[in-house]
Amino acid sequence: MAAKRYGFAIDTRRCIGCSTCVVGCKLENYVPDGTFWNRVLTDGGAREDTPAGNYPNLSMVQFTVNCQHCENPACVKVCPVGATYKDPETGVVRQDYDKCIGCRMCMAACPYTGVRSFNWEEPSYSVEVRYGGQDVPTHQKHVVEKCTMCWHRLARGENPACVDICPARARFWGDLDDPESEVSKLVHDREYMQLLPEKGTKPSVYYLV
Amino acid sequence: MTDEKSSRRGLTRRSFLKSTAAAAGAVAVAGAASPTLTALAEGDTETSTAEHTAKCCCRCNCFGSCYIEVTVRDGKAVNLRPAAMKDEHYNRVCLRGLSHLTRIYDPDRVKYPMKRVGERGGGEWECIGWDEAIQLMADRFTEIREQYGNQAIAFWTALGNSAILNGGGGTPNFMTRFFNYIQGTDINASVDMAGSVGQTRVLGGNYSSGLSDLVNSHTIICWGYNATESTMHTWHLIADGMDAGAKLIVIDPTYTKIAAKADQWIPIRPGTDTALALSLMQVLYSEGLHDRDFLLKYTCAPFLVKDDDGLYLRMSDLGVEPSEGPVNAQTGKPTVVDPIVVWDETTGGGVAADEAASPALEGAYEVGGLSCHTAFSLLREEFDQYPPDVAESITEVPADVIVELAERLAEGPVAHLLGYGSQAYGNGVHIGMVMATLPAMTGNYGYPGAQEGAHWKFFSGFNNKATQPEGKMRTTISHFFLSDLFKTGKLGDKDFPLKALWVFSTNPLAGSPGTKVLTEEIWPNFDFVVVSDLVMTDTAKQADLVLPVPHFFEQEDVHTSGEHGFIFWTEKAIDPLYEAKTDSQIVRLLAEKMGMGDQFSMTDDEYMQEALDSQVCKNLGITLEALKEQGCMYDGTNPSIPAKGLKFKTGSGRIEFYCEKPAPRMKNGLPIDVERERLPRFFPPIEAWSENELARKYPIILNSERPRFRVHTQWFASSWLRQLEPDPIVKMNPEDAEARGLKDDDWVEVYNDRGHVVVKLVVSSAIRKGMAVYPKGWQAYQHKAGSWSELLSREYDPAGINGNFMDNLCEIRLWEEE
Repeated sequence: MAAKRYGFAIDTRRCIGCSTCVVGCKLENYVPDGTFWNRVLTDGGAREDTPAGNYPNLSMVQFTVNCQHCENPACVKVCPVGATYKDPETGVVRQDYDKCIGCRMCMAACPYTGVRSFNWEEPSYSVEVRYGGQDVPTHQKHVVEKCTMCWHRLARGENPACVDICPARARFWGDLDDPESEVSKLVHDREYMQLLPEKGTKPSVYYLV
Repeated sequence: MTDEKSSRRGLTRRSFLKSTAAAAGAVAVAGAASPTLTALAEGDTETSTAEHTAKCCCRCNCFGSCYIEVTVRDGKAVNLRPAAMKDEHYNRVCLRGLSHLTRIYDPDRVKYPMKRVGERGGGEWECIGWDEAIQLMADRFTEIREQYGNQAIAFWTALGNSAILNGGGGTPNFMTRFFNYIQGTDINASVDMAGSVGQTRVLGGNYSSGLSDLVNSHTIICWGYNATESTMHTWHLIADGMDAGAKLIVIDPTYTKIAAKADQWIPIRPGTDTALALSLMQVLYSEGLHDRDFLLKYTCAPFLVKDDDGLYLRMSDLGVEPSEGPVNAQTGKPTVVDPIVVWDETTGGGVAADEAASPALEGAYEVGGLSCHTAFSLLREEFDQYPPDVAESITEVPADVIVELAERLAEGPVAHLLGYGSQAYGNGVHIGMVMATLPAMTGNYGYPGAQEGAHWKFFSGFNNKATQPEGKMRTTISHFFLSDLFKTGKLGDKDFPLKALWVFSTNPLAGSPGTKVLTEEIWPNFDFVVVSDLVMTDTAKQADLVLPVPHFFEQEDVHTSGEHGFIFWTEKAIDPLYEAKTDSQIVRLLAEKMGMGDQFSMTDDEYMQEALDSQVCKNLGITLEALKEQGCMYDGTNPSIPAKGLKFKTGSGRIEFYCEKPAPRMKNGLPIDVERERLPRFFPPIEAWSENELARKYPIILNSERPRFRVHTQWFASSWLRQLEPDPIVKMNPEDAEARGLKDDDWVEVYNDRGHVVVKLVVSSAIRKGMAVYPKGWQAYQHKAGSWSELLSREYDPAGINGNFMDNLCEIRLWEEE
């Protein structure tokens, strides 16, 4: 089977920064308290949900940031134990909790501050049931974690959870190397921007503008 | 959750499996060869547990009525996804729906019936058993009814949970059956009603189409509708409309997210939307863009109105005896046919409306010695007062913007989407009236892409007799009447003692206007207060008895949406936690102890079958069995275009922008000014108006928004959502903040003569100068001091009898204390 290059297209004309994908990711991946793998950022004023400009000449766009599953990932280069690696068959940048030694070099190297988080303490849960997908790897103390592109769901032939639940229908995902995939067509047809292209990480997330 | 403390040195069994699986896993993803291997190797080595799913409706009063697939494992709800609807436009869920686990497994849930110990509101409780709780209620209710009369037992409910068996609000639920049977008093929540009073006057009901129709619109206009925040589940349909070529225009004082998405944002002075709409009508008319034929045929425009009494001129006024028409199915009596008269230009006289060859649109006429004007002439007298330059001085919308917008209305079908912002001022009834009238100027009704309204459609085809055993009925009053009622002891001229209160599916001591007055002055008049809820809300804290009820996913029911036109069987995913009992279970136990058990002994299914036993349901094939089998069925209100055929449920069947006999929303309130209510008219808000004396002391207009983090007050304690939105805030314009020496992130006190609240400041250019906007729904304990609803006025418009959540003034200063 030919290798895939999975990536996302996020339509910023539709994204309203509602945080449904943020919460849905947390739910699906049994993410502990205080951690979110996906966040909403506001391109506008200094605070979230505030615009740039002076009333009434204003502008504001929301977009979400998760691990960009880069083609040229800075994190992979710096990991001393190979705990983070790019899966050649799918393009997913993966994190092996068992190998991770908690040095956090990846967090320093990654230009997309915030997509990786470190569990300083034993993961704690205000919701005391084992929620989310059964086959989600257990979160561990003293390791770094991040968006897995819902690897456990991909293994079952399903989409990442955030794609399925976006109420604005602004999230698209698929094989960027397949010209017939929805995500490829969007990237081809629509104008887009990427985050920090000058860093040379070649992110796999395209923000349609 | 097992604690994996595997060694990280050397090749352990786990890491060996992992590296093998990594290769196998890649194959699995590409070719779905052995997904199980990957899944297992990836995480825990436990064998997987059996899971099943249940389809449940989230039914929390945002009207999304999202169908959710709940995954259950080991008897616990563990995951949530949108379930497939019959119409995939409505496959959806939001961050609140996905946060239900934080509510189901909230450690602070009410677990047992709790009886107050010590002072009311003192926070001391004793857990008691259900037997004791029910006996207490039965004893108190019985003795109060005997001493003070049936009306002395009151209930206060709204749409926190809405379904046909359990919950509150307007559906035919079991609690309503109980309160009708005991002939108690329904304290109407009086929220979000003014706009629909106006709409109903003009159209006889709600005629908005489903939002999937927006792809046919040339223009979509959001009037005071913050869709991307309050009803994010509708946004994608608006976006689809834009993708299909519709221009989105947002009219709002605040630069909301939907304003940021719009093709055009029209900032407007708060509370003046009606003046803008009247001006649009003035421009349409003066530029000859109005649809004369439509106005003459489908509206009351040509109807003659008598100058002396303001009623329509009828054939009976001209000596023609009314005749009998077909029997009215509701009343069983023949309809009275007494046609309204129009002026026929062909014959030069007054004739019955449907017989005129060429009815006059405008003019003053004398018919049968009676001086009259056409209804359209009277309407024109109104809108002629608002040419664009005058409207600009009132609304602060530039005249050229008004003209351009009016001209656009005539270009193609328009969808006017009415939010709840504009109706929450004292002048809110008239925004409902004018929004129903404006589209009539261009015949914008009854075809694809053309619609108007707040697009909430409530299925009204239930068998309401299911709630009326022996035909007994409750009495309905508004909570706005309570001050006077307790002061005088009377409702109208009748003695009307109220002594007991049962609150369910609502949280009035957090959400109603003027909570200080409600809590400190009104509440103490109730000798015995019961609150049914999931958590200790501000209202539950003021109860004498708190009863635990189940979460939405812990009970079976039938639910109809307010928006997408489907009716659901909502399954029980898990058993109720702790000692929670459903409303129907509680009523059964209580009724038995009160000696009326026979009226409530039917099973839940039997009751639901009865509530569904109507001609409307039969026509749609809706039975309890069908619902259980199909899960989700059409309720007949969507995706049709309700206004197609242009027959409205008004007396004349036409769009009646002239209301000859306006009535207040309910009896026993303040008297209305009939003349004021007859036409769409602009009146300034009661309080939130810079010309008011009070504005010198309190110059900031206080508005709330319905944020994505809560639905009214539900989800206030959700741990995940509190992680995203940790503090209650208020948003102010940078100039206003600077003028008060306030900076972003300061703790500030927002106050007026009615109360105060302490919150964090967010300085935002999205906020119009002279305004402050706060996301609503917090509980008092979540603030350093005070609470939001204290500041809100309890003055009400006599016609709408509605909460004026936006019609308030305040001032803001730095909070110096801790």
